[in-house]
Amino acid sequence: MGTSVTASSAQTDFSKRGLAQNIPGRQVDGMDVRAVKAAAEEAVAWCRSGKGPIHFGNADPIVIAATPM
Amino acid sequence: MAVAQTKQTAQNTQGLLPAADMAANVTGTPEFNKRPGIPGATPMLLIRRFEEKAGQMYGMGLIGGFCHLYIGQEAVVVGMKLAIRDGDQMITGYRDHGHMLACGMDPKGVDGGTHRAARRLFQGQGRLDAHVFAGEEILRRARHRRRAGFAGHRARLRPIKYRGDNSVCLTYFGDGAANQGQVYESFNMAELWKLPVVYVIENNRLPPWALR
Repeated sequence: MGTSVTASSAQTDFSKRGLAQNIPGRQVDGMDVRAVKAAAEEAVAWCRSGKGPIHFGNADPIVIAATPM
Repeated sequence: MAVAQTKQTAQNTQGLLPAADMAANVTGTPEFNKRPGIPGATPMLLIRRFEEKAGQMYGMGLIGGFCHLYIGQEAVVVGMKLAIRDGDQMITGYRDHGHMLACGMDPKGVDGGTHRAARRLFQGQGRLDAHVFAGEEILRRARHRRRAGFAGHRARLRPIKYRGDNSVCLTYFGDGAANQGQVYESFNMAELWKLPVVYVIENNRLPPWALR
């Protein structure tokens, strides 16, 4: 059961899937917990940046695409 | 910051990430020493052993329906979990045994959600029909279909934003779900409302339901 991602997805770099909405993305080696953690810290910091009880609207969504490499 | 550069790139008209950026992302791996390494290795091992046993029980017919194993993807959920803090939230799809274990749920409870005999404990509810609460964190499972996760995450994210408690939401889905339309509705609204969400696309290169 299952179909290869190259047979079912036109764009197989999933970190690019948010670019049309200006959502940044990056590829991470999903087999390396250190790489995922480092990317996650960066992404979470990006989401939290400049956000407070008064200033809504500064937190940006972000995409992380974790692919075994 | 690489993210800032990527954001800048995203706003360019070309709309493609430079290959150099991607290479830098992959090679710039920080080292673990023993102290942070053990918190990473322990849950990964737990997930692997749990899934091996779940696969065995599925093969023996003890688990009904589908059984979506997380073997090989352990580093994703564990790495993400190491980076978030109390109050942050996670929304998953159906391949989420690992997410529940990484959140600190009792493996017996996770197993109870999948095991046919123990399903009676849920008083007839389907195995995917549970909202799971683990400590201060909230993990929400998509209900049977991938798309439900996205409807749920919008409902979940609006309060986060208005509460202003600076928490973020991790939304996990796979490469199969990434080809569905709801994902892009969700992207649009998340960017429009500037919601604090990290989309984690777990690409295992083999979507179980492909276009036909």
